[in-house]
Amino acid sequence: MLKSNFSLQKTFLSLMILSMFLFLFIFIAIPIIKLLLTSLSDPQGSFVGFENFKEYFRQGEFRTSLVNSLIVSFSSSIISITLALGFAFATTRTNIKFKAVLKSIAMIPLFAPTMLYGISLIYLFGNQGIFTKFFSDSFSIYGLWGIIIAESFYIFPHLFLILYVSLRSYDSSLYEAADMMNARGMKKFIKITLPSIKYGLITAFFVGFTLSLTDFGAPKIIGGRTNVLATEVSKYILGQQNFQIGAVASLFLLIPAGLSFFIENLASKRQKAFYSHGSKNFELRKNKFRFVFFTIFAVFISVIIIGFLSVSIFASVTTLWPYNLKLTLSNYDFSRFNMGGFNVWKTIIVALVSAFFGSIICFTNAYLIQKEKALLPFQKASRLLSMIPMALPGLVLGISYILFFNSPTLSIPFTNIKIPNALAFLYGTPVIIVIANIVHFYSVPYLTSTSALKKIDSNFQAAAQTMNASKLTVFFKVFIPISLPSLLEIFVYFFTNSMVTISAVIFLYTANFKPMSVAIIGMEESGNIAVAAALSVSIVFINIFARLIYIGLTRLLNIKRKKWDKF
Amino acid sequence: MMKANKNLIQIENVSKKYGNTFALKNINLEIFEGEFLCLLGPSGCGKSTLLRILAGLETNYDGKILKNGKEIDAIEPGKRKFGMVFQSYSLFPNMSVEKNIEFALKAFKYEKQKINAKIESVLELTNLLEHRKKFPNQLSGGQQQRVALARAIAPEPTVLLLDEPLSALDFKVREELRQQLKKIQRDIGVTTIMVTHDQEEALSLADRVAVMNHAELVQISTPEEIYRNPKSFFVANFIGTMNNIYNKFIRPEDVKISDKKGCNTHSGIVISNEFRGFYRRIKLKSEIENEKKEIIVDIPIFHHQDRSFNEGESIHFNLPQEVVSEQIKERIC
Ligand SMILES: Nc1ncnc2c1ncn2[C@@H]1O[C@H](COP(=O)(O)OP(=O)(O)O)[C@@H](O)[C@H]1O
Ligand SMILES: [Mg+2]
Repeated sequence: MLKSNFSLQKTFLSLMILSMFLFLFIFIAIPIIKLLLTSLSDPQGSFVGFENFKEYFRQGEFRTSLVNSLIVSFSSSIISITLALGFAFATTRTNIKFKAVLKSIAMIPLFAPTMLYGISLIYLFGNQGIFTKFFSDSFSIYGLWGIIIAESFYIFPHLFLILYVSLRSYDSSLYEAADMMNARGMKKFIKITLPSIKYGLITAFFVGFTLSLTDFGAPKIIGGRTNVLATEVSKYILGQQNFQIGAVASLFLLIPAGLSFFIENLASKRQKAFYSHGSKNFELRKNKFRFVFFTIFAVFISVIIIGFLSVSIFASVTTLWPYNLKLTLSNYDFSRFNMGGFNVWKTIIVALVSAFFGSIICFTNAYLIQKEKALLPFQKASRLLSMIPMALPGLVLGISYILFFNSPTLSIPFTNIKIPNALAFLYGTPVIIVIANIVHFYSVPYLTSTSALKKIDSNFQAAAQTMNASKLTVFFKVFIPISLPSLLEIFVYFFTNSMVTISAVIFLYTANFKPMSVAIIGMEESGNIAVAAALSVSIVFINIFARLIYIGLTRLLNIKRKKWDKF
Repeated sequence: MMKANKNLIQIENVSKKYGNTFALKNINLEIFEGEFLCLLGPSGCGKSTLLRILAGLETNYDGKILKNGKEIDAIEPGKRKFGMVFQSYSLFPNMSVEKNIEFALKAFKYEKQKINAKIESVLELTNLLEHRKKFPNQLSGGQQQRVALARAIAPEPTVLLLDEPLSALDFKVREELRQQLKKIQRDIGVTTIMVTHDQEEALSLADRVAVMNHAELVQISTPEEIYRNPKSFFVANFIGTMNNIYNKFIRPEDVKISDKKGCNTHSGIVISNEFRGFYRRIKLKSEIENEKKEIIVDIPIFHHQDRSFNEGESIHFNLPQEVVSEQIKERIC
């Protein structure tokens, strides 16, 4: 006999799990499937096999872009890893001062749209750049050099974070043993430190490679006539409206991203195993050479990061860089320009709405997947779907969304059945941008929620049930209050990323609503580079402001929670 | 203590499978009103599963649970009004001691005026009055467990379910809490089912002990009966150490060291000697009626104080009267 314990609560729970699954399936899986199908079809939707691929390979530009992309991604990863490793070493293994400040400076690039690095480079080394005259005439920042430098900035904080975590914990006994054998500093670094963070280095390399491969903003601004895969993809879609070839080209972004996600995952599992048997840290010993060397290094990097940002700030408040340096705020008077549907407040509201719903959806879904057992197959499917956005470049997501939401009917593969697309009405509304933001940045907050929930006793719901309390009560009165710090963190993550992102929204903005990041591209294209700089700088300051509010709220929260929170 | 033997809960043919393995196999058990029943068994034998089924937290199982003769299988956990305490305490960390208790009372829709008085009385009962404003992480493990108990008994449950409530605590605290638990249970007279893998805990607390092994119930009796008359070698050995001689179970304290040879006296060689506080445990290599045996003997520390029982020493011991081989019987002692 099977007891069917039918109740309202269980029905509600199952419905929640089902709707969360449907959200992920409709907005992640179906658009990707649509993208794959498009790459194998002609414009009328008939299956043509690999014809589009052949067509794509026939074009010479493909090979050039591919090679360029590989050069850019490889070089910027190597450059940035080297610098990030030094910076992470300085902030974990040396006695340098003001580590907290240095760490915050390393995070600054996260607040800026990638276009900003291109703009700063133009001001420094471009046609009217202040340093341009020191270089020979044959040198041009517009092209590979510019892209590589810009991407190195962009990926620096990501790589720094990974290496910082790898370097932070270590087994002191290895170093003590080496000391007894009288090993020198460099030898210890090569023989002990590097091997102990090898998985961190591998992960950092692939993260850097993927981020710079799939970035659209920097190459768009500083690439000049040099094409990389990301700019080429957008040309097919936005310029030629050739969706079939565009779909094929975007697969060349998706495949390396997917592959590196896989390798990263493997590496991080190994890394965990490496530290499983307790690593102990020891007091850092005084070492004068180390102190001086890394102080200089860390200050140097910090100055470059701040300097790079300052160039855009300064240029945006001058009348005409570099000829008339009279200060002015006219570049911040965005209403002077016709930027079709652009509005600062709307951009902030869309980012806030994305952050709000993104946080709710992520946390609820992580909760349902981890703490409940009502519809196991759907819970498992949701767990898998939740990790896909991590491997999904924004450009690919954006293209999938146009393909999916723009088609009035959907044909089911291998049949002749066509069904009307009930979601087509979303096309051309800001809602689609909100959804794209939520999906694009979904995985990291999902993982944050999951690890926050893992720390919570799994018997809370059972205990509450025996006390006649509903699951909803426990969710709101226990799970949410306990996870509030993580929820705040998730919220600013969504907000900041929604503010800086360009890759998915470049395909999805509408005549009525154009986000700031898209307006940057438009201004730069029309030669108003100072306004593009002003827009980029505004985004940075809005994000820093949001960050400060976040820090303030977290402090307040911690004071309130001090009595009961263990951490 | 056990009141009139009124049957409160009846577990009928309850089985539960996870995949292909049984977590519970055909469990039949009656629980009397007001009694303290211990479910005792090794880890993984299905005790928690049975408790969770009683609480209504597991729904897919075979068999029936009756309360006062009525099936309660389809009744939700909250509506059963069984209080439950988990090994991990499961106190809400963001609520103070009194808020935790208030949470339960509010969920059971206690009237507002009564809530405060009720909180007061359970805190007094569990000796926690001075800690009422504190949060769980400001309390010791023992105090937290008492809060969990207070929260479970506050709504006056008909049955109290305890899943290894003392296992996570230090030995000293555990002993202390055991006494308190027993006292509280007697004071309020609530029918209590406690899961434990600690036989000492079960024997000292329970009115009746239900021993489980491999998803099955193997014996239900009073602690004395279980200790004196185990029905299987598993129970005998789980409850304490046992010698198996002529298929009879002999407690180590029932084997007596003797100085002179009698007709039920055997000899053996000491292979180990362990000091265990108030007694000494000696293992002997012996040959009883041509069968090689290892015999365990517990000697109270104030007996045979003049002897050392060194390894390799040869000594004599007597088996109890009832353990007599046919050959010895013929010798007429
Ligand atoms: N949710 C579950 N899924 C699969 N197997 C389970 C689950 N819960 C318990 N089991 C299995 O059922 C058996 C009994 O578990 P449990 O009742 O927790 O044992 P005990 O409390 O006696 O240690 C164990 O073998 C355990 O592995
Ligand atoms: Mg258990």
